[in-house]
Amino acid sequence: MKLAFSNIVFDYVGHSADQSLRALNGVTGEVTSGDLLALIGPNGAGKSTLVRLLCGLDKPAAGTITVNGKPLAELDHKQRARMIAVVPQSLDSLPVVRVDDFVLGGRYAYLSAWGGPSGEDRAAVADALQACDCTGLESRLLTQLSGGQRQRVLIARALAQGAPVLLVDEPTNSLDPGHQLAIFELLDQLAKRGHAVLVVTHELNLASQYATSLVLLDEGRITCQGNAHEVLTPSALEPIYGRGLTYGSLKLEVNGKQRPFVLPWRSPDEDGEPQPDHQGRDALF
Amino acid sequence: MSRDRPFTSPYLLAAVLAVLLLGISMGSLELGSTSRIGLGETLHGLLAMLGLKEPLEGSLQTIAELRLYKLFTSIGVGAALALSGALFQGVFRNQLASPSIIGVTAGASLGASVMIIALSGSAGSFFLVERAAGLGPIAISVAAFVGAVLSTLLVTLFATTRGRISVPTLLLTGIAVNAIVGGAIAAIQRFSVEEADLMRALMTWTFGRLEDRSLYHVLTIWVGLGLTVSIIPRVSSELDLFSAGEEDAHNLGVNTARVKWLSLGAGALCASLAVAVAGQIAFVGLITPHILRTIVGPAHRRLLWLSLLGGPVLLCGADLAQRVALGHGALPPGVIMSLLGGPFFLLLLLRNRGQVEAW
Repeated sequence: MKLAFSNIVFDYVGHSADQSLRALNGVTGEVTSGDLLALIGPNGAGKSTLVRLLCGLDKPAAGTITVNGKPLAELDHKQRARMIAVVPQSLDSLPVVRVDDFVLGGRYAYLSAWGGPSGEDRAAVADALQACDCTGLESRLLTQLSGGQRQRVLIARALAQGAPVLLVDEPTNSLDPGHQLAIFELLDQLAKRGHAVLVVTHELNLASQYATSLVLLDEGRITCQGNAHEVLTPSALEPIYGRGLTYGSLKLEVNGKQRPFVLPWRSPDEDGEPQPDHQGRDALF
Repeated sequence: MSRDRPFTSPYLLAAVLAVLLLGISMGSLELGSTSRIGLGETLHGLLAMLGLKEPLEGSLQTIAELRLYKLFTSIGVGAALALSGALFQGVFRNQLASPSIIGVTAGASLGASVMIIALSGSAGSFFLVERAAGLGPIAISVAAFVGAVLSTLLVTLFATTRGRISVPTLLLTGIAVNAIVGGAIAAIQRFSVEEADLMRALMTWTFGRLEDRSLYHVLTIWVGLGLTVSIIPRVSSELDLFSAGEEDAHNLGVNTARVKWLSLGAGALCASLAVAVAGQIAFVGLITPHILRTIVGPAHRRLLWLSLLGGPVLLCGADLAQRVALGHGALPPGVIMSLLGGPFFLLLLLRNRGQVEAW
């Protein structure tokens, strides 16, 4: 399974020419089975726009998107949903439904207009809930869940969709560090089981630990891509995030290999002079 | 909104509503504007219409037929308005959306009024008595539908930004459409004040009318209802998926544009035909789905079907109750539903205040 995008261009059209914005400008890449691709970049870089294009919500002004070589635009709605599942950043509103009924929504692409869910659909829901550690939540209302539980249920619904490609948009927003780790561990497991996972995230360190590759997007262009060692470097990140970052590396729990980390932490600069705000804070304490 | 108790079985509610509707129907056939005939004679008249019995004597058969036409028109109108409300609320994901609030019935009313003026003379009397001639009634129904579709398009396009519907904008657009139509109809009435028949037709339209219906009215509303009911299986589970947002539904494989326009088109058809045969009757489409939702839950595969029973129970029930209470001084159905529905709408606004701001 391969989701590929090539030379994608997308414009947000405003009321006049000077209000229009080129959100993506010649973006090319792919995600295949077993990949956990982290799409990183500053706010407004075009990450979520790319996800919208990859799931067919918007159409690119130029460029091609293919699923296993077949143009995305040629798939009908249900075919597309059986190939690509989306875990949205948030829902427009939270429906008052039981968790199992909500996850069953992921089976829509397999249901006929007249028939109800089959045993296979029910089994897919149960499997998805189990895979996301949501067993026991089935009869709860979606509105009664915590942020972490809700995120897992959203991922479970995408799994129930049975799609080999998962597009996950900022899944750790407003979650505590424990839940952030748990969500990325889950995405890692899904990739290892053969899903092609593309995750949009601001969590550079989680991407460093779990992503098989990283793509850095800025102002609608890919400025750097590769593994964590290649992307999480001052030369790649400073032009985008500025100089207020501290770089280092730590061992992974799984195999003991080193991976880079990046902290939003202003350190003394290279010639040893503390930066003004750093000095100011020292003076306070 | 969260709840601890489970929802009632939809089958149980359907059975209760069916029994209620049967009782109300029998009451309506028993109590007409004249006491010359009762339920027995009216049912005899029905069998006579079907060719199974001899017609009643003289004008009694006509009275029985008028009573039957009124009942079947009322049931059709109640069902059409409630179904229309449930569809609009489903697409707009908001309990405050209904054909009357967002200006769809007003659009239908304006379309019909314009057509009455255009055809004045023969068609002007259509709304007063059953002896409509030629293509007038059909033209009025078509004009009502066109008016409803245009106002639906107007409010939907105004309230949609980048595929998302803003409910405050939707409601505000509805206020504007209602105001424009109110002004236009008042202007039309002002200029037709010289022609008593025309004036009466337009006034009747404004307050709704279920008396003096004909077979044409019954057929119009039931054919429209039949067409709309046929789309229920194509939109019910889809509208459930709309509840978390249109884009979310798209990601699950729903053809959102098709579901949206099919539902809005069917809702507009129902509302406009209800207006075409019975004038403006507000709030049935607002109240019915709301009450049903609190009893059986928000799933549209239950809600849409049950609206077909709930709407008639509300409209015919309110009409029968006020006829029992007020006798010959009974008010037009539009007035009754506004008196009931207005306070209900305020109550709904009060309960949803925080959510309306958030949306």
